[in-house]
Amino acid sequence: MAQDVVVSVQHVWKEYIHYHHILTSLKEVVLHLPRLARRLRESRFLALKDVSFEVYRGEVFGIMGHNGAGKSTLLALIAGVMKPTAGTVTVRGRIAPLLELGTGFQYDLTGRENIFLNGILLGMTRRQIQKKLDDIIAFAELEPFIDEPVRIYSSGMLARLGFAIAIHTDPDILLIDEVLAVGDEAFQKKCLKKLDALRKEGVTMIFVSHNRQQMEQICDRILHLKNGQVQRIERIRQSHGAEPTATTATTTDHEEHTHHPTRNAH
Amino acid sequence: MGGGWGMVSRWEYYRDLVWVLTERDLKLKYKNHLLGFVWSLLLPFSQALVFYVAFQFIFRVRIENYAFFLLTGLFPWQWFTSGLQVGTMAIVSSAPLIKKTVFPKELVVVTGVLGEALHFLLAQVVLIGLLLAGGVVPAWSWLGLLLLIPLQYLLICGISFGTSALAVFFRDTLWMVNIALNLGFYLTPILYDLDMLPGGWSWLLFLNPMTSFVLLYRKIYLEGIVEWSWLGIAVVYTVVVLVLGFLFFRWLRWRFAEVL
Ligand SMILES: Nc1ncnc2c1ncn2[C@@H]1O[C@H](COP(=O)(O)OP(=O)(O)OP(=O)(O)O)[C@@H](O)[C@H]1O
Ligand SMILES: [Mg+2]
Repeated sequence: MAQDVVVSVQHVWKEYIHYHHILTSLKEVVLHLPRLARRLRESRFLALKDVSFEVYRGEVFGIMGHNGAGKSTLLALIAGVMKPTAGTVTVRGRIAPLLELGTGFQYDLTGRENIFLNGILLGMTRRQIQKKLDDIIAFAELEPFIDEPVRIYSSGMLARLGFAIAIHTDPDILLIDEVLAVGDEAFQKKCLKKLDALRKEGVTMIFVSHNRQQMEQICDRILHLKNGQVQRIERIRQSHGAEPTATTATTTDHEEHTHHPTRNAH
Repeated sequence: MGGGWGMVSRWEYYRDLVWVLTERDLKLKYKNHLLGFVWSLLLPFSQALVFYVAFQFIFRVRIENYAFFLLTGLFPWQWFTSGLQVGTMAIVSSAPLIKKTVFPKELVVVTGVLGEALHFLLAQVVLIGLLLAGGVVPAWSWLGLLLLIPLQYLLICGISFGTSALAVFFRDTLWMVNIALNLGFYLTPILYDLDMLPGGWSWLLFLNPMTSFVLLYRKIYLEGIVEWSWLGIAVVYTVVVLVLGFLFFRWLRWRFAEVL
């Protein structure tokens, strides 16, 4: 309990409004008013329901759950690109860009231009980015392609670039949403090694993945999300700083339950 | 740690931020374009040529120095058009960044319009060259441009705040903007002058914020006079539009990431 809390999520609810529903039904305003009212109600979707948890400094925290469980939504709230409908998200420290598949780059710009764009939006000056440029390109192993538009990159190459930028921005917290999955084996290994080094430096990581085995290898705790609700938080190993001996996973399988308020007890 | 914030001045950071974002807009605009900036000059010139032929020789409009009359109005209008088009799509076209990183979203609107402002400034240099070659005598009042141009910049930003936020929810916003611009062109005294309207109706044109701007540019260039009453109107429009546009933008901006 004496550990530093770096990410605190308290009773967070997230409701999406599906604007497309409403907009396509604008025609119906004239024709069927009652139907519109129903549409409006249907067009709301609760993606997260009273989610609470805390992540400690230097911890590797995993989030698992079925497709549509709300994992990416949760990361977006932590990254601060979205606001929760209710509840609070508190983050202490500098967050790297959300590492997700398929976003974050302007497709018509080159890899190099995208590095500058991302770097600057993360608070670095051009001089600072210039200094790290070679490291980023080298880590991504994209030298031959760096002056080509990102449009022609494969999804693995995009993931490499995103990953390389994120870890070179001196983050305190890394949010990683399934990006490792598209890297080839060699790159995955390299990333895991790098993440391990960062973890030892005290960087906190929040991981989303469907790969149970990999998650158990790297995570200290795993939160299981189902239909937007926390099912349980599973402890894999005694937390951070501990030597990451990958094979000792699941020896201590005692779990930690989060408190559910009565209204959404399941 | 931000890589040594203490050593780096905020100023350097913001300068770089504006630089990189503006550069991005220009690069995106001119990717795979052979002539790049030249096109943005050729457009108002070709327009001017068409209008000149039409109104001078066919309709026989009696305005002195009609070529300069047209050019001094067409360039600010061209900036207004391109600025609004870029500004309106600024948020939508930055979707990948907005969904992934947290930064002041207003910036992409402001820098998008700035890129178009640079075009306008270069076009003004060309225009001034033409004016001087055509025997127009420079006047101190031309310094009024140093006020007028930033003012028009803010006006375009203000409208763009509103339309760019709207465009996130309705992609047809750009169509509406384009139609409004098409109509607006004829409701601005670019081809004609205020006094060519039937008596007592010219005030109607001032319902269009660009009217005062075009008139101001023209009078500064061709008569060497800053018309203070028009400047007053321009300032009021700019302030009102900027405040309303910004508030509207702030009201909607936190939904951008989930709708884009
Ligand atoms: N921008 C959005 N607007 C409306 N609804 C959304 C939006 N993003 C996600 N949703 C909905 O919220 C729910 C949770 O989505 P989310 O992307 O968080 O799931 P996920 O757990 O990341 O799934 P996956 O494993 O497929 O990545 C889904 O039902 C999805 O349809
Ligand atoms: Mg997801």
